[in-house]
Amino acid sequence: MLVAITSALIHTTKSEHGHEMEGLNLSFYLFIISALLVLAYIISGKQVVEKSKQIDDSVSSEE
Amino acid sequence: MGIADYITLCNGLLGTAAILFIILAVEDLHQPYYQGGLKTHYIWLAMLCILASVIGDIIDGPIARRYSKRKLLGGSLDIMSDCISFCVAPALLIFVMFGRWGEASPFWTISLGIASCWIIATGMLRLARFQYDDGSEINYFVGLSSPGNALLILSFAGLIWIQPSVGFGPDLTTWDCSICFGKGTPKPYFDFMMLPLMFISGGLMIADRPMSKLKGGLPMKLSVIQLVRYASCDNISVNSYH
Repeated sequence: MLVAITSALIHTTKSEHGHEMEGLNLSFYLFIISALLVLAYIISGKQVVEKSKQIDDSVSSEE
Repeated sequence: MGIADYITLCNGLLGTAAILFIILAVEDLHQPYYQGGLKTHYIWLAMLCILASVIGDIIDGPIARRYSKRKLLGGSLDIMSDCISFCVAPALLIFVMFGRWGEASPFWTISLGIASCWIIATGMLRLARFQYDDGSEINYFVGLSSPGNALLILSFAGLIWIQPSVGFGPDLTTWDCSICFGKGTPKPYFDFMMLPLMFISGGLMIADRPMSKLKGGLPMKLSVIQLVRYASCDNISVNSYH
C-alpha cells in the first residue's frame, strides 16, 4: 500500500493535466492486493485466532 | 517521556498533518478528474501520513513494552493519537474525496457525513474498549482494530478513486440523479460503495469478533490460506451446482 500511494503521488504530481496516467496501473493493482489482504484478515479473523490458539497449545504441551 | 512516547506523539502529529493535507486538497477537489487524470496529490500525501502513522503504531508498542516505565502516559497518548490518525483523518478524507463539493445532492452529503461520524464514534468506542481490555491476558483484538479500519478504508478509497483513470472497468459516470447523487458531473462509478463500507467497517470495530494481532507473520499466512480455501470451496460448490 505504501508503494501504491507513493507511485500514485509521483504520477499525480508529474502529470498536472492528467496526461501521463499509465503509471497509475501499478498503484491500482497494489491497491487491489492490499484491499484483498485486509479483507482476508477480516473474514478469517475468528478462525485465525482459534488456529493460533491451537498451535500455541500444542507447542506448550510438547514443551 | 520515553522513546516510545515520542514515536506515539509523532503518530498523532502525522494524523494532524493528514488533516491539514485534506484541507489543502479541498480546493483541488472542485474538479478532481481533469482530462481523464488526477491532479489531487494532497489526497495521496494525506494517505501517506495515515499509513506512516499505522507503521509508527505497529512499532511503538514493542518499544514501549521494552523501554518505557510509565505505561499510563504511553497508553493515554496512544489512544489519543490513534483517534486522530485512524478515526478522524480517514473519516474526513472520505468526506472530502467523495463529497463532490457543490455538486452533490444534500442527501448524498448528509449520508456521507453520517457515515464519517459513525466511523469516528465507533472508533472512539473501540479505543475506549481497547484501553479497558489492555490489562487483560487475551492475545487477540476484540473487533477490528483502528489501524485495520484505516487500512480498509484507505485501500478501497484509493482503489475507487483511481479506477476510472486506469481504464479498467467502467469509466467516469454522470449519473444524472438530482435526488441521490446530485448534478450530472463526472464521478467514479463505484463511489457509492464507500457508504456501506464505512458502516461495515465502523460496525466491525465495535463487534465482538476476535481478530488476530498478526504477531510473527503466521496469522497473516493463515488468513490468506483461509481466504483461498473459502474461494476454492465456493468455486467447487458453484461448479457442482452447474
